[in-house]
Amino acid sequence: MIQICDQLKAEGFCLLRLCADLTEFIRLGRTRKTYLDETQRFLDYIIDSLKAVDKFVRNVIKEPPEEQVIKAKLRDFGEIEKALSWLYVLSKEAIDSDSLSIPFSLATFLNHTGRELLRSKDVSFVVLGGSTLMYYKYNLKKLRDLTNDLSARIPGYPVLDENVGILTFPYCAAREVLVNCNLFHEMGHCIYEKRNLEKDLRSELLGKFSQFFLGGKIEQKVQEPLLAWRAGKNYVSTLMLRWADEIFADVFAIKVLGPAFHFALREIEQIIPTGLGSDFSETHPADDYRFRIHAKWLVQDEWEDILKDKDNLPEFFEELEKCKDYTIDRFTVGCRPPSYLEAIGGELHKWMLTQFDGMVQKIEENVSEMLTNNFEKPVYDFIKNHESVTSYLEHGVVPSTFYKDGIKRHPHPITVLNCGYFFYLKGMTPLLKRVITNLNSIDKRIMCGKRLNSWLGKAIEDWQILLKEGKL
Amino acid sequence: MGMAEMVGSIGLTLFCNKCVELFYEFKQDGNLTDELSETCKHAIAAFSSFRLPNGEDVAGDSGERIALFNTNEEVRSFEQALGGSEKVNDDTLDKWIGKMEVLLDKSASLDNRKQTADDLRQFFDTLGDYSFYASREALRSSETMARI
Repeated sequence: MIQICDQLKAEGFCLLRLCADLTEFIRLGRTRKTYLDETQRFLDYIIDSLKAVDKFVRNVIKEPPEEQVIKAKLRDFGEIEKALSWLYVLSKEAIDSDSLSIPFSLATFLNHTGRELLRSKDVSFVVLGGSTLMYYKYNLKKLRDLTNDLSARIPGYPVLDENVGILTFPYCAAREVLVNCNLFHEMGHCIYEKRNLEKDLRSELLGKFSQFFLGGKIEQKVQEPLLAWRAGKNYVSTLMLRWADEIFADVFAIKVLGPAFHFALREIEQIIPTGLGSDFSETHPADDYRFRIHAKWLVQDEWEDILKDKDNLPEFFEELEKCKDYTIDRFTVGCRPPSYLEAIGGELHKWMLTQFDGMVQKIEENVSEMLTNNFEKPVYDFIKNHESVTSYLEHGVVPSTFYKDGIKRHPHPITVLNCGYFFYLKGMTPLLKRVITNLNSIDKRIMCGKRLNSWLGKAIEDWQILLKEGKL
Repeated sequence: MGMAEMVGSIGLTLFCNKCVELFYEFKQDGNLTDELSETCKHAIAAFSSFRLPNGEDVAGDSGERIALFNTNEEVRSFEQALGGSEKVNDDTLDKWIGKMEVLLDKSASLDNRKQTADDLRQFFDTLGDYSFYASREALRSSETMARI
């Protein structure tokens, strides 16, 4: 008893030390830095979590529990430690993401877009520079579950607000605007969670899986029917709901941003290829399947003629268009099912892909329904303003205000992003011809690419200032 | 393994720890609190979710967080807690569900209920251990701990 009690105290002190160190790190890290409001609030949340843990641990150390439950307390400490290891990563990323270290104007515009679409001023997207070369959204559903579980054990532990989303970009891309269009896909994940669509999809899916399991006499084909049933439910729902989340985020980003999102995704995939041509992975649908969806919605949202225009990127669209005709038979699931289900792996995967196709239809309806009111297809502003924006970019001018037919115009940030991407992908030739420098052609192109991103970022910032001042 | 497995197992461990404390308190004072009653019902629902659906019950379970066993790691922890030789089948599920029902049954003898509470405490202590090891394993093996 004395030994285990000592162990409890020793682990408790370790936890207290970690809480103190993290709190100190956040306090010092914030000094002389400015953050977006969303990041500030998130850092406050972390501090509150640490306070609750500190109080809980102190109480346990002061009054050690009875022998029969002491092991449970030790496990509590162990699990808190694991949760803190997550907060540890997030604290560092949040502290490093001051307003100079993130794509500031895009992050602000992203928050604006989210609030408009969800018609809620409480929505808050925290944009962080992540340490890996990829874009991701913290799995807040799981993190919220975790904070719920912790709050059930630790008095006063704050549950993460359901309006908070945490989106991460590769920290080295802080000055980029174009490739950071991928953040809109990550925002789509948060909106998927908020729309609560997963609950319906899951319920329907599990019902269908029951029918498949019973109707297909699966229980006679596997050795441990109960475990196969349970493992199958987990496997099918985990994978398919992850794919659904991805497709929702893709449809959302394509409908909100148009081709700029597709270009951004292709750009990041050039840097870190997924290798998922026709294979569905544990987390993502196959690339070709995603592109099939992109092509469909680019056509539906009237981008087709613009993309096919010889002055834009017709070859790019031609390639994308091929995906439109792909049927589900073309795709495979590149994962191993749980051991209880290995005997029926092929049959199960085929069933999953067929069901997923039906699920996608519901997702598309859900996104479209959300974007029916107070959302104008971005292509309309693009058609009105793209010539002027492109001309400004060719001359190295920030495209935030111009006169057309004697009328002052301010292109929408989404038009700015799309024009910027077309201009960038076509090689920026008119701009490169105008810029006179001693740099070699490679460095000149890199330098102009960087400048282009900063002009686009400034145009987006100007639009938001004008909006705030009621001048739009 | 990834975030889902880690969070799932942490949640299961914390739930088991709570059960251990509540069952211990019941053994001490024989007082069926609302919290204990709710916790037992939660556990009964979770244990029942292992059963194969019958002909009429094919709508799937809508309460995803009720189940407690959402990942295969949690399922494995449950299987391990039942003991190597004992498989998850209707009999073993009935046995543990039955024990919780006895504890909730105020007409049963208090001594019997206290003894049952102690059995349950030990069972959840074991399940908590397995789940704790599973979450540790998930944390160690997951490169993308907190992301999707």
